[in-house]
Parts: sequence; structure tokens; C-alpha cells
Amino acid sequence: MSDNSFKIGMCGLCGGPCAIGANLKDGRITSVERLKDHPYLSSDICVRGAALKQFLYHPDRIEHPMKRTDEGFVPVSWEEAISDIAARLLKTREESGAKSTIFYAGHPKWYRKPYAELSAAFGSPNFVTESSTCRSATAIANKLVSGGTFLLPDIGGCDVVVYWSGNQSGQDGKLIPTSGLKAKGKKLIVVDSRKTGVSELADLHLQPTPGTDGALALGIANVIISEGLEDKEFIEKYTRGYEEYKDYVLSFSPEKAAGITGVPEEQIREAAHILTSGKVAMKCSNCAYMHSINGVQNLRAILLLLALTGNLGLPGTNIPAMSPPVKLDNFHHFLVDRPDIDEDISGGEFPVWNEIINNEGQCVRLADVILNEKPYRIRNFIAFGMNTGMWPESDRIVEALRKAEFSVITELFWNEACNEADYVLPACASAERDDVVAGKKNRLLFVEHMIDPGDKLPDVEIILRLAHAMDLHGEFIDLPGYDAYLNHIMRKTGITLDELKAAPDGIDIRNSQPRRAFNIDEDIDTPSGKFEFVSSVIEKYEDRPGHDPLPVYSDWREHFTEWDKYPFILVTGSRKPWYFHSRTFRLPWLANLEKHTCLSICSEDAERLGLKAGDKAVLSTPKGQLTYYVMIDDGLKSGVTYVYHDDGEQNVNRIIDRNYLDPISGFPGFRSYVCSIEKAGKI
Amino acid sequence: MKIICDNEKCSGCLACVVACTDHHYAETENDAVSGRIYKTVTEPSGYTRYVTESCRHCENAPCIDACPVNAISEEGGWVLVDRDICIGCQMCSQACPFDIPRFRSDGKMFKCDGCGGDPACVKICPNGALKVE
Repeated sequence: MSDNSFKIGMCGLCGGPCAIGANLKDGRITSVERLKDHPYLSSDICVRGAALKQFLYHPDRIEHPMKRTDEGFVPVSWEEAISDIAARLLKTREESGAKSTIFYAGHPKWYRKPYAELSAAFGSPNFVTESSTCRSATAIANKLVSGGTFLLPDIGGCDVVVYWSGNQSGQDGKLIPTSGLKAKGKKLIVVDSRKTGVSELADLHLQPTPGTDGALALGIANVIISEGLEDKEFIEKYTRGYEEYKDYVLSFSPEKAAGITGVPEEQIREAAHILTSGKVAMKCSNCAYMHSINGVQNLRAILLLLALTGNLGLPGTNIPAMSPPVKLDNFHHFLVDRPDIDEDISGGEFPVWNEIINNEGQCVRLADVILNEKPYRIRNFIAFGMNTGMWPESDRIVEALRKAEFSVITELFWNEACNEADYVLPACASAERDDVVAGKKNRLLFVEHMIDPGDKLPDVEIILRLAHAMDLHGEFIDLPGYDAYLNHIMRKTGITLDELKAAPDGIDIRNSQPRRAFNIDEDIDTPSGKFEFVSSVIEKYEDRPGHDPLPVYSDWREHFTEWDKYPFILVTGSRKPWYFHSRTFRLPWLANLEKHTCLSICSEDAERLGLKAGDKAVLSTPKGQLTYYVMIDDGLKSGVTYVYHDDGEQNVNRIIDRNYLDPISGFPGFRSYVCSIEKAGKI
Repeated sequence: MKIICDNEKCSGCLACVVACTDHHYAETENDAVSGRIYKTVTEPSGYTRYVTESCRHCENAPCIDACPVNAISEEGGWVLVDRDICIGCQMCSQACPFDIPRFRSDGKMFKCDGCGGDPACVKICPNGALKVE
């Protein structure tokens, strides 16, 4: 007799916190549903979540711990895997020191708190993460300017909303949050190099050439200062270095900015006027502008528009984040510090990073570190989530993993990194593990796993078992298991996991200790205690290239000379709702929505190149060639091509120069590189 | 009965397309054909996106008349195809004024069946652009 049921669980396909409903038959998901009208859980299930069963039951899922042997990979027990890995790590620590082990965290980020603690307790400075090319540069720029690693825009209290990149409609297909703001009478400025569903709703859409955002911000600042529209009182009271900034900005006329960015001068002036017309909240915690070799300086220039106009740290504007959320202590921004950070694998190349982000290291040079044994020899590489395609010249990462003496990869799916590992450990997907969720209306809820995980374990459980086997200690890693971890992250609410499990509708946590409000007179966490036009951190390193204490604009295009050979600007890694990194290319229902992989160009460029939609074209960079299908997108500027994520062979990061990096953050210039495009067969 | 889309609200995210697939196929059916179909449109501004549509479940549907084996019928306002009877002759496709019928790798027709009145595509739409009328 078959057993049909309906269960509520977490989707988690992209790492997001979306609840989902599932119809099950005999314990297997047959289809999924958006939870309509659930009083406490947000159910933002999107096109990706609709393919959840193809994700969960994919033939590439890893079902058991696997060990490399002379006869290939064989399944082993968890006990054998954990004790073998622990013994190996302890032995090599004795022989070569803790720093010869790298602890890497891929995406998603939820398990990082205990994982960072494991690395620190082991003694390694090399706790590194995918944020090395994803978000840390944004955190650096935010911290340099505001003292917080990100800003919380007070969208409810503002008059003007700015989306400086961050196309929500490309992320999850939602337009309602944006159209809702418009309905409330808020002005909307969108800055994006292409036209999107969100830019269509904007009062003003600025469309700069990719990688020139800093010049645009400086041009806007010039208009504000030239017309005397700056917030003088705020600047006097809460900022550092304004006079020097002003002198620099006054050399950056809107005419000059228009010439660099391609944004018409009148739009630059209009933006300056809108930004000084009321309280401004800016959504700017994205990574688009950071994938440029002037990324940190560009974002500093953008954020300083907020300091210039008095839109930082005050209600209705943008609040620097101070402390972890009080509801659940699982936020990946507030990790334990690394020991001996001066000895990490970055070898002193990114001193601003290490001053600001002391809890995770920059690993953009991972392949060179392992292959060249510089700054020293790495003996163990431990990874939770390992996508080699994240790095520029990705093939070298696979080569490095092949060379690594010992590696352990914890993954959902068997991938090219697993092929090179000594141990491969199977992680639960979100639908396969219990969770606690801070829902709507101050409700804390226990959400049970939807399907049987089999032999797979939650990442945190694996981390705890490794810590216990090595006799390492710390607040999180002393916890006996995954349930104790869930109980621990909710401790500030005063409720226990058992109490929560016994409350099917969750528990109201309204009365638990609220987050202390940001106090602009006391809480600006920069070295000067002020918002910094001139960075007192960068000042210490100003003899290094690109380390100007002012947010100086340096044009990435000056890096290249062969514009005849590579006339196109290559932008990679933007999102479409059905792509999330390279994660969805295993799922035919999503991968087959478009002929993949595509490069997008506008019809004017296509015509000039003799290409039409669906044709094959060869994309060449100074580092190689790949062939893509052509897609026409007239929302792009002429001379710009977008290549979206893909896995394996078609991953465009394979042909991006690994040394093309922002000197401050080490971030690759993924969104402002060069290429040529020609019809396939022509060359 | 029909499922209509307000293109002003639609972001072209294709959630409806995949939700339809999810509700009509097993995950192993990699050749699944969705009952919602989509095409690219370019707005006057240059903004390029997808729009979606599905069977209009016409009154006096021409596909019903065109089907030589009576595989298509109307039930409670929904026009349905019985894939056990369909012979894949594609006469319905020629008769349909909206180019809706699609054919799976077995040659047989697949299209929107209205999910029994509570369509998966309408339920998943993040922008409330779809409704049954």
C-alpha cells in the first residue's frame, strides 16, 4: 500500500532560507509546492526550487563516505573515514605544523561557524572560503568606509532607493519587492550595465560600461560638491578626510565621468539631484562591481556618496552591521579569528584583507600555493563544498588537487574535485536535515527533514566528529552532535530545541533580547571612529600599487593594449533565475531551458559579426578559447558580452588570467575582462 | 477555462515552466516537455526577456475536431489529451491557431491539462502574474 503525504521543509538548493512544501509517496518527493498563506514561513520557491526532486535524487549524489584505494574509490564506514582523516591531520601537524593544512569552505555558508572553530582549534591560519572571489571584497570596502562589513539599508524609512547592481529579477525572478517600493512613492535609481526587469521599473537607470562604477560615483560626487548639495554638518561631525576627498573629486568632472562610463552627463547630474532630494537607502552588498581590478576603490567611491549626503548610520539610511543577529547564531560573518594570520597562504600579498577580515583568508592563489609550494608546502586540503570552476584558470586548481598529498572533499555531488580526493564525504542537502528557522512575525520554528538522508550527514555533524576525533575544543565543536548544535544556535532566544520540537506552530520570540540599535556617536567601528573618505587602514600600505587612501579611480582598460585583437568586454557570472553558480547544470529541466552555454551580445554586434541567435561562436581571451551558442540580448551595450555560469568544459573562468586581480582584495576581474568573438568555423 | 499571464507583472523567470514539469513528470524523465511554453521578447528599451503561455482551452477547440483518433476531449472546461490514444500525427498542431501542442520523444502530444483546476504554474509564480480565468 502506498503512503501519500505532504511535508513542509527547506529547499536550500541555492543555500537560501526558503521553506517549501512537498508531496511525498512512500517517502519520496513526487512534486513541490509554494507554501501559500503560511503564517510564519517564507516560501519564495523559485524556478530552481521547482526542480528540487531532480537535485535531490540526482545520480551524481554521493551516498556513502568513499575512500581512494588502488582499486579505485570504495565505500567505507563513517568511523573509519573520520578516524583515518583525524589521524592523518594530527600526524602531519606534528611533522609540518598546523599551517600545512588548508580548511576550505565552499558555498553555501551555514556551517562556517563550527568549521572556522575547527580550523582555529587545530591551529591553522588557513581557514579560507569561496568568499575569496565572492563577497569578501564587498566586506572590505564596507568596513573601510563605514566600520561594518555590510550595510543594512533602511528601505522602509527612506525616500530614495538605490540598487547599485544586484538584479533581484535575475536572482529569483521576483519583481514584487521593487514594484512595491514604487507603489509606496519611493524614487528608484538602478545602476546596472544591462537592462533588467528591475531597471525597467527605475526612475533613473544608469548603464555604465562594466568596471567603471567608481568613475560614475566620483562624477556624481563632483556634481553634489560643485552645487553645494553635500551634508556639511554630517561631514563635519562624522567623517574623516573630507578636504582631500573634495580636492580629488573636484578633478573628476561629470564630463570626464561621462567619457569613462558611457553614462550621459545629464543622467549623472540627475542622479546627484535625486540622491540629495531625501533620505537614501542603497542596496550595495553585491559582488558585481568587486569583480574588477579596481573593485575595492570603486565600491569605496560608491559608499562615500552616502557619507557625502549624510546617508550613513542614521534612521532611514544605511546602518553598518555591528553584531550577529540575536535570533539565531549561525551567521557566517561573525566567525572565530584565525591564529597566526601573518603566516597564512596569502604570503602577505593582501595586508588590507588580513587587517579587516581576520577570520578567513584570501585563497585566490590556491593553485599556485599548492603547485609551487609557496609560501610553503601544503600537505592537506580539507574542503566542504569544492567547485574548482570558481577560480580563474580553473584547470590549474584541478592540477593542484591532483598534486595535493592528501585531500578530503565533502560534497553533495561527485564532481571533478572528488576525482582527485583521498576521501569523499557525503553531505545532506537541506531537505535531508532538520533545521531551526527564524520565520515571519518573530516566530522561531523547527523544520524537520523532508526525506531520509540515508548514510549522508549534515556538514556540521561531520565537522563535530572530526573535532572530537582530534580532541580539539571550542564553544561549538565541544557540542556532542547536530541536535546540540541546533539547540546552541538558538540559545539567545531562551528556548530549547526540545521545546521547539514540541511546538508545531513555532514559538514567539518577540521578547528575546533585541539587537541594540546602532548609535552613530559611539559605534562607528573604523580606526578613527568616523566614516573615512581617506582610509586610515590603506594609508599604512600606500606604497603598494593600487593602495591609495582616497577612492582613486584607475581604469581597468589601461591594463590591456591589444584592443584590436580583443575588442569585446567580457562580463561573467551574472545570474539568471534558473542558474545558480554552476549548481543547476546537472539538472536537465533547468539546463535545457536554454541552449547552453550561451554568450549574450546585442543585435547590433551580432549583425556586425554575421551571427544570429543559436549560432555557435568562438570566444577567445588572452588565455584561451571556448565555443558558445549566441544569444541576443538588446539590454546589453554594444561591445559587451555576458557569459553566464556553466560547469566543466564550458566554464569561462578557465580562460580568465589568474593574475588579473584587484591588488587590495585579490578579487579576479571576472566582470571586466577582454575577449574577441567570431563565428565558429571561421577561424 | 484558461490560464492567463499578465505580462506587465511577469519577470520571465520560467518558474511556471519548471513547476509544470515537476508536477507532470518523474525526475528521471530528462526529456520532459513542459505544458507552458516560452519565447523571447525584446521591449522597446532593449530589455530582453521571456514570456510564457499555454493552452487556451478554447471553446469548440479546433484540435478536438482535428484529432483523427479522438484523443482530445473537453472536460469541465479543460481541453485534455489522452496520451494512451494519441498516435503523434500532429494534426492538432496544424489546427491550433496558437502553436501550443508540443511533442515528446515518444512522438505523442503534451500540453497544459489545467492540473485539475489548481495549476502548479499559477501557484508557483513569484509575481502573481498568472491566474485561472
